[in-house]
Amino acid sequence: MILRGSGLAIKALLFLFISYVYVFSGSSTVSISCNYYNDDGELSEDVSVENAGFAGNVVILPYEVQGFSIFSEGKGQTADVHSNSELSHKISATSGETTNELQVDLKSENARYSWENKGTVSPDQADLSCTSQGTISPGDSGGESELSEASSRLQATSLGKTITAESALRASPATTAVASVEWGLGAKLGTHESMLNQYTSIRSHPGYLTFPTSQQVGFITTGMTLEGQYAENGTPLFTKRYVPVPKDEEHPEGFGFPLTLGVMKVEDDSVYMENKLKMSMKWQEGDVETTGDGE
Amino acid sequence: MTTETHTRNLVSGLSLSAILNIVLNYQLAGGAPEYIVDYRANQTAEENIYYSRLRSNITQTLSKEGEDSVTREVNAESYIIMPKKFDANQAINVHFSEENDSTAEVMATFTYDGETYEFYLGSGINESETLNLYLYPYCPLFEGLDLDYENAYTDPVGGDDFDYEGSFVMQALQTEGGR
Repeated sequence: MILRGSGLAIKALLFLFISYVYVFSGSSTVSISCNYYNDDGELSEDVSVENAGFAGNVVILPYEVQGFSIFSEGKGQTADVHSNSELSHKISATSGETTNELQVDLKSENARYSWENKGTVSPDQADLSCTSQGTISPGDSGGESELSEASSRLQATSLGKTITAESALRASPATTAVASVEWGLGAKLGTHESMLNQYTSIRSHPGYLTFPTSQQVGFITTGMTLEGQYAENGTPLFTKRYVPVPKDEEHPEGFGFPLTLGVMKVEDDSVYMENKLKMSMKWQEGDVETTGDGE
Repeated sequence: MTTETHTRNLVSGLSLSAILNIVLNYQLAGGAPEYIVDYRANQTAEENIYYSRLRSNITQTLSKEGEDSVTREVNAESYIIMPKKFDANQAINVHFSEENDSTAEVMATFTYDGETYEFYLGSGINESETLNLYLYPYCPLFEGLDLDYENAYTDPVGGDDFDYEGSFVMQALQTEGGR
């Protein structure tokens, strides 16, 4: 009994020593690299921010408690929305033969975004998850640009596949008077199944309707892409996907890429238009293909 | 007799918009037997568009020797906005004459989901007239018509160990309590 009690005390002491919190932000580029490991596995992070803030905490235990022995979570967001803002975060988790890896790059100007991530390592899991949301903010004459611009790039390597999702958005200063714009992305990487998604939603205010038009006269231009390949040899899972679907040989009835919207006031103050762009990908472990086409 | 015709035909990709502002000034010497001006604006969208707008603002001033000048004004507009592609022909016709039969009319022939609809607004012209033909989801002119206001492009790809789906949806909606 005495020995067992002493063991628990030592373990509690270890817990206190290796649980910590970090916070940083800056108008210039600030970066941090961390590596945490124990007998169950390893978790590594590289974070870099410019005009953005990031805060995180990490718990490392000598044994599994409540489903984990290494746990990390972090949150980031834009600082001054009217300046160029960037957040770059790479996180990887390893347990046994499973390694999952996430790399995200978020950029914005006259727009805001938030970012959250979690990583969990135990003897039988190396899970990573993340979510991000963003909105636009009108530019002012004091900034370098009055346009709202935002882009995201999320690359996930898990279960033998690498999936890369990108999106971009550009909106004129008057956009927020007539429409609300939101976008986001998320991923969950596990040991049996992984998934990734991204979306952009453009909804006109009641009394305004949107319509597709040319880039010269549009208020908002946006589009997203996704690529997938086998991690081992780089063989594509399929040809690059676009939303909206472009007009090409594969899609003769496609819509056209990217999407540019105009906005017009209409008589009825109760009607509005919603434009939703979505991409989702779910995958499992599979045999490495050599032919390069899963369609 | 004086006759003038303004005709404009436009065809383009995703959206069409033509706005014409026209001022007509006529000074007639005494004894002119007849006076007629026909104005016609026409816009044809044959390439499956989402938005089309045709607007004409016409001001006509007629001056005769020994009489007060007469100014007549017609503001006519036709626009169509839909979440799915459509074909349309929009026309604005204005007829000015010395008699009391001056008229203005706005017409639209609209093809949506394989069905064709025709809309018409007409009026006599006194001093000024405004004719607006607005066609959009849930507008009063569409009441009772079976129109689908959602348009979706999907792009699925699947394999033994993965599933991908991309989609783009345009949808017209109404707030609670809307008409």
